[in-house]
Amino acid sequence: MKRLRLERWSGQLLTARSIPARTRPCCLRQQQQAALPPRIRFSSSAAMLSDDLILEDGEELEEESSPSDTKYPSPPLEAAFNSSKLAALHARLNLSPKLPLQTMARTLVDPSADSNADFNNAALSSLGGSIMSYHVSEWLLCTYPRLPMTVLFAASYAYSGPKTLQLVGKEWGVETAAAPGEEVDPGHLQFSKLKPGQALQSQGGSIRPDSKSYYRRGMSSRVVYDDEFGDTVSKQAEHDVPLPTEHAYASFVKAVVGSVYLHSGSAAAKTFVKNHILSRYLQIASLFQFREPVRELSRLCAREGFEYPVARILSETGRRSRHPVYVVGIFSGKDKLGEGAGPSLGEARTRACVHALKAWYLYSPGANVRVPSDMEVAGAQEWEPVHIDMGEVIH
Amino acid sequence: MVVQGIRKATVGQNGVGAFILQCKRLDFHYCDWAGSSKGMNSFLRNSLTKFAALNPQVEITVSPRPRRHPVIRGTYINGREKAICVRNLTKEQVLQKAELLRDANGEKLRKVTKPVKSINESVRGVWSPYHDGGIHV
Amino acid sequence: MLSRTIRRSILDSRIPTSALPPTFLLPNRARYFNSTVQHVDAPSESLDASLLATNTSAEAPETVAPVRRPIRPKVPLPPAPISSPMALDASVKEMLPLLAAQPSHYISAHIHAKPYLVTAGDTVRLPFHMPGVVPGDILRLNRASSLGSRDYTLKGTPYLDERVFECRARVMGTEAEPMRTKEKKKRRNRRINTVKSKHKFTILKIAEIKINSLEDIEGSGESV
Repeated sequence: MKRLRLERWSGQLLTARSIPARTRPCCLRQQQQAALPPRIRFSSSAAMLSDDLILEDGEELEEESSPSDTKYPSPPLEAAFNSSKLAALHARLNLSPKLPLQTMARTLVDPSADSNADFNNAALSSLGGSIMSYHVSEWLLCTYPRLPMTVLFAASYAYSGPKTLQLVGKEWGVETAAAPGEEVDPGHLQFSKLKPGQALQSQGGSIRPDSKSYYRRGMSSRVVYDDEFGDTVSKQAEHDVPLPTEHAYASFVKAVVGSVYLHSGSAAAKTFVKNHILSRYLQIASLFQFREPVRELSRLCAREGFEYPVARILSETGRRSRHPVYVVGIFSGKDKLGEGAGPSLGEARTRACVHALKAWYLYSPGANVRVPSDMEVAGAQEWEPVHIDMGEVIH
Repeated sequence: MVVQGIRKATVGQNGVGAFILQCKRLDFHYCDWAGSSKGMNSFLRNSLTKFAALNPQVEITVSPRPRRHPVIRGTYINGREKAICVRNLTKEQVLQKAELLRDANGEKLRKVTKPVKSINESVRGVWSPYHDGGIHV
Repeated sequence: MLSRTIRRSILDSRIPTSALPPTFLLPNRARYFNSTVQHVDAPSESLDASLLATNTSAEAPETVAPVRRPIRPKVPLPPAPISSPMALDASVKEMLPLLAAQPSHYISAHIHAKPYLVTAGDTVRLPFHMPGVVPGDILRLNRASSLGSRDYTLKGTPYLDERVFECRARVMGTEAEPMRTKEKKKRRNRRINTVKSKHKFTILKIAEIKINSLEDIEGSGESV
């Protein structure tokens, strides 16, 4: 895990110092190295200084200490102890003291700032991202078992998508550094920003085997091949390219979840996700967009064995006026499935169908239904199978 | 693929799950020479460490501001700032002002007439004239 | 009476671990605020008096302690246990699960005898500055006059039994109003007196409204 910077072994430095002097301690290794006096961790920079001071030529000294050559792309570990922003962030999130500040500092370094995997949050963020999407999706599936796949993707995007995670990160009070570098306060989010007008780097195609344009990208294949929001997963992209702010915030929030999992355990990570992500407000009913609700409702009734749905006027006013209102109910036999009001009979019937479909799809066994990860707690009650629906109407 | 999902973002409800203190940073500005900073300087010397230890969520900075009155400036998560001039105040009064800034949420002060603010849908639904019989003329 | 209600709700510590984050995620650091000097002007004595009044109703009445209790004891005292078993009406027993099963609920919680009709996630601006609380504290509101969902309402006579529901509010902080100025002028006199006032208000966020199941209610009655 030691970090070697072969490209920077210029001739003079190579002769002057041995290999360990060019290493940087990694934060997850920090606990083993904590016994060492801190001066040892400063050794590389101290050695660097003494080497530079031997030189008599001032110009050469300047060249040697130019930022691109001697500085690390992210702040050193020792800076984490001295950053009040970082300590305040740690306390603000009420994180356990088991989670050290060095890890906290590492969650704030994006791969676009420091490409070394030992010092950026890429690993933590992929761990935390999968934990977060697991808890979000199990909660969504158990709470709303009948959601159509598209709406499920949209709901999980609403809870754990990059836009939301950017909001979460900002609500935690994290600011971005103007540019990444060694001298940056470790309490800032460090990533290389997109310049105005700069196009997003193309991600180099997807990992789907059927990536040809003439293949249809259906819903069931998205479950298998695509990510948790139904988007294609890009091929291994370069980490050094600048990225939008929301992606940097998203990987930071995911990395915090990952570090909570690493240092405090899965129960703590679950509570963290529940408190910070699932407690947010979303009206899932507003995520639906129907194309042909009348037809879909009749197909649903046929599938479920209900009687054929019939629209009936419940009440109306001002039929001959400029703004009439019709209230139409959808009945299947004697059961009213839904009702809607609209300025024309067709509009009212469509709204009634949408209402009936939403009532069907948004069935919920209760907000505090048990989820599979509740069984991980010792002494949990026996698992009762949750409701599993056969899925949305396909026609 | 008849029903489509619309992409939205959830809205934060601070305090429902986790609680994030809205005061992010407190800057204490003092002057070594001027008499109006007397209470502030004594606060910085005696009570600031305790205050900072009790409020780890708040980043605290202390900086001199020579030939000016002492000021406490709070920075909030919503991006706003609140500054309070603490000239000629005693140590206790300065602490009181610091706690005021800590408890504030950074919003602009406004007169509120309705005590309850909600983003939830009405639990009982909205009254409709077309239901429940209505008025037959 | 009123201060007793609010006091008891502040002092409630029966927070089930399942409903709340584990202790390390709780705002335990917020508790440290309490050792700062609280700038409470007058009401400390009345609070103490009300505290003692609640305790006398429970078991062996405490003698009026000569030692002045701090405004916030380090560990909040649990409220006096309610010894009488809960007698639920048959209709309530039948309807309460139906009420609990409906998706959203409202509660009309009373704070200092003023009702606030709230749902989970609402922000309440109290018309006063609550002494002795700091941002992040959780209050349990145990006095409510009605509790309902879309189709069912449980009404209190005049108040609901506090074992039926759990309503928790989070103290979000203190807000102030813009400075009010009022000019006082007497007739036939040029002097104008300008009175300024700026009140502070405590902000609460309703963190949780939970309706206890019948087993829990009955069980709590038996255990006591």
